[in-house]
Amino acid sequence: MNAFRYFRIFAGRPTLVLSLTILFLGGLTLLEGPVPIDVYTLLSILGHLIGLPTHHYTRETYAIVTELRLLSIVSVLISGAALGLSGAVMQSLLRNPLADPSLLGISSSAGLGVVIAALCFGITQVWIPTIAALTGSLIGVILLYALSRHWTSGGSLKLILAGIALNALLNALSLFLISIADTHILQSVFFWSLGGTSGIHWTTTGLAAILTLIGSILLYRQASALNVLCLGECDAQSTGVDVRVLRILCVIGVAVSISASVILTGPVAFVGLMVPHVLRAWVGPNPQKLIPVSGLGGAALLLFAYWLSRQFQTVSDIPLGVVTALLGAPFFLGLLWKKQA
Amino acid sequence: MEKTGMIAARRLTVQKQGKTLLSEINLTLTPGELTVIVGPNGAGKSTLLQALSGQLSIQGGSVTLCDRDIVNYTRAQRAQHIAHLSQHIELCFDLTVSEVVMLGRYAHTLPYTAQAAAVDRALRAVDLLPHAQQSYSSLSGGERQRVQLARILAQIDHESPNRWLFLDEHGVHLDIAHQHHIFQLLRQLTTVGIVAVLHDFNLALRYADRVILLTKGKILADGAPQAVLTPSNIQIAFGMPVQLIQSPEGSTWIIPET
Repeated sequence: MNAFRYFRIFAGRPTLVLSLTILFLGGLTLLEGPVPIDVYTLLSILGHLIGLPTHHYTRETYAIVTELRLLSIVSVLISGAALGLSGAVMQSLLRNPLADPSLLGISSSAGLGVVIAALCFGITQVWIPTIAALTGSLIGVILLYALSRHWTSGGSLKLILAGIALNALLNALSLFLISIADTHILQSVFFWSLGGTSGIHWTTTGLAAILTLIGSILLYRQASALNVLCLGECDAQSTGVDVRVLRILCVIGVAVSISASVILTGPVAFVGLMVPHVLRAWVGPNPQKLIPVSGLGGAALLLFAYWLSRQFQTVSDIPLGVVTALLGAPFFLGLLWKKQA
Repeated sequence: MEKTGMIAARRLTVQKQGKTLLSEINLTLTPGELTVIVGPNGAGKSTLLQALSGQLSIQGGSVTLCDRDIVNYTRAQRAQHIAHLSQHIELCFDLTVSEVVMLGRYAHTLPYTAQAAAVDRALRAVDLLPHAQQSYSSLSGGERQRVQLARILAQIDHESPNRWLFLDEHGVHLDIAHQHHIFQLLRQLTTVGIVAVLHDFNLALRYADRVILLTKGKILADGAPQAVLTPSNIQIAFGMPVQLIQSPEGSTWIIPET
């Protein structure tokens, strides 16, 4: 009886459930790893970070927590949030519950931008991949939107197929460029291109956080207009929505958010598909609720994928993109199966 | 008859990709009237509705609402005065009935309770208040059309007499009982100006105050239903011979000549 009551309390509070999940997984990821850290040491380090006079740690453990694990966790959370809320926006904008910015090639477009920039200018400066990712994702979104305008009538599956082809093409181009590059760049960029947090610094993460913040504010401001778009473009227009402006702002917001995600964790697919889909059943389709909750959900899911990727005792971590694809692809197939039925 | 809130078109001309869709249309619409626009496919009926509600850029002439050019209204003001309903609405995600109607309140910035009250009024007007919390997808076709009607009613729910409903072949795929039900509902809205594009002459004869017959982007006839929907006008517009018959109760019906 009590268990049921608790279940109902939690079922009504997706924000609370997702936040607790993030805290739990984050704590777990900080403690686990090749160098195990005990809870007391961790609390002591975190205490020091917020200015408490705690000293129960060594220099090495402090560096591992702050420069490696905490950095990775924060990056993964930001990237996941950007993916989740962009997914929610894309699904409303394209009026298609199967839309996912990564599956449709926006992430890989940003990724290709980063690869090209890495080949041309090297990977020394932080702002070069950022600008490259931003440019790439903008081109990707515009391309995708042009495709979706081309098939205005009932072409929802057609659009998905076109997006998947675009995605495959851009990924192949990235891999091609990486393959012909010299080994130094090859190693670092290749792993990143599969989705991974290796080789980032707090500056990158900070920059991405700012981009995500700008993107999410821009997208959240479109929430009520996106809600009306559910009626279709014609009736949304006569209800008072400026559909053209809405489209442009959403496209920019998604591009900015996705570029932030890509510079942190590389192109990671399926998060933007799964999260809004599952949460829509929980909080309803209204973007005013769905966008923020999807951001939180995306962060939680990507952190879960990250935690999972570290559970295998391999030389390097399993790429994040591999984990999300292992989780997401069966989910996607299930959706298609259900849609057909 | 109220003189405020009139919509007037003067020499209205619309062209798209070099093709003239509407040429030199002159008409004045008065609130409280139910005007039906009929005409063959491609005559420009939908274009006329869109041009009159200011959603289309026009190439000549003017459209005024209350003696003020329609383009001088903000997007939100236009939405509050003229609600336009397409023939077929497909929601991409499932909402509840009241959520659908609430979408119509987008152009209004009122506190939530006032918005919810407007939604309730609109649902009561179409007899769907008890279904407010039901899912839209669980409704029948006829009920969905009434929800959409409630949505555009909510859109123009305010004090001013300046309120218009534009219906573009609304509910044409409904059965005869539902079609009549929709028009009986519309007839009760005595303070609202209604402009409906229709294909059914008999519905027009029965419910319209005024019929506008449109062919090839021009007005062929405009006036009382009986005066406009004559066999000769219909023959000119549609190229099809029809005849009028009188029912024993005295109502007129238009049927194809055999």
